[in-house]
Amino acid sequence: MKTLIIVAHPKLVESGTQQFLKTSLANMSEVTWHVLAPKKTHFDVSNEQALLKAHDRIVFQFPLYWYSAPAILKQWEDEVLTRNFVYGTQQALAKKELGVVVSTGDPQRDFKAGSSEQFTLSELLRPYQALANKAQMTYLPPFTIFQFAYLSETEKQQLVVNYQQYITNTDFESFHGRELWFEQQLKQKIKVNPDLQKLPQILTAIQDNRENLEELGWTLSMIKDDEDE
Amino acid sequence: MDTNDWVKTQLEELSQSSKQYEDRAFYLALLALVKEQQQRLIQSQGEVDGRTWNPSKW
Repeated sequence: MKTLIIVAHPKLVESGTQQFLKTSLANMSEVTWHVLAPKKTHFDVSNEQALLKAHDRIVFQFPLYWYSAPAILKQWEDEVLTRNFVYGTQQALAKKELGVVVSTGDPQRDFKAGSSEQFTLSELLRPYQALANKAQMTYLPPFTIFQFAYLSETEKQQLVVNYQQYITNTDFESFHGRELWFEQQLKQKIKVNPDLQKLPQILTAIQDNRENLEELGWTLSMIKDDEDE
Repeated sequence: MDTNDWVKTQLEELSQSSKQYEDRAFYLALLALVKEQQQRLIQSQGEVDGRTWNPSKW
């Protein structure tokens, strides 16, 4: 799976969050980090459309500006997402996935009915869900980062791996999908560090656990089917 | 020592001794995964036992 990350941030160089996210992907393959440069007057539409076509998961990544993305992303959408390309004759984005990585300086607890922001981020990001729907894409649950500057060291480390999975794991939503992703990553590490002899043993143990869980799952579903009769 | 306990000890060590930040983060997350696998194994095994012990089917 190839992932295209479209980064829309007017002050990218100053953003610790964006730098952190970029570094998190240093060892990930099949990922394209595509920055929307603020100085451009117009986007090269055919170039941008070719990029979109060449990837399977498209991710809009931006800081929340007035409950939306910075203007550059809207400009990119208006210029690049032409009618024919999206839902006319071409439907070039159909069957691809659309994800959103959004960061905000406000705490998570504020984004709910009755709290100071009143709305959840899922509600505020509806236009992207509508776009995905129109383009016949699968809309992924938004990946949210609240108050990056206040995260503890452990929370930042968790953010690295959760973000890596949002970008590269085909099935990051299920526990089984996460197990398979970790196994895949561990296999990569074994290739790079053949001297670390404990890594293959760790991999075997994790695979055994997964297989045992799968077997228990099948047994349970058989028992449940039997109970239904 | 149980295999999973050995794995957890190794992952704790790797999450502290690895040179790269992303590697330390990876092993820490993998440790959390192994703990959840263990938890799920216990729960699933318990559910199988509980559902098998069904006097109404005797």
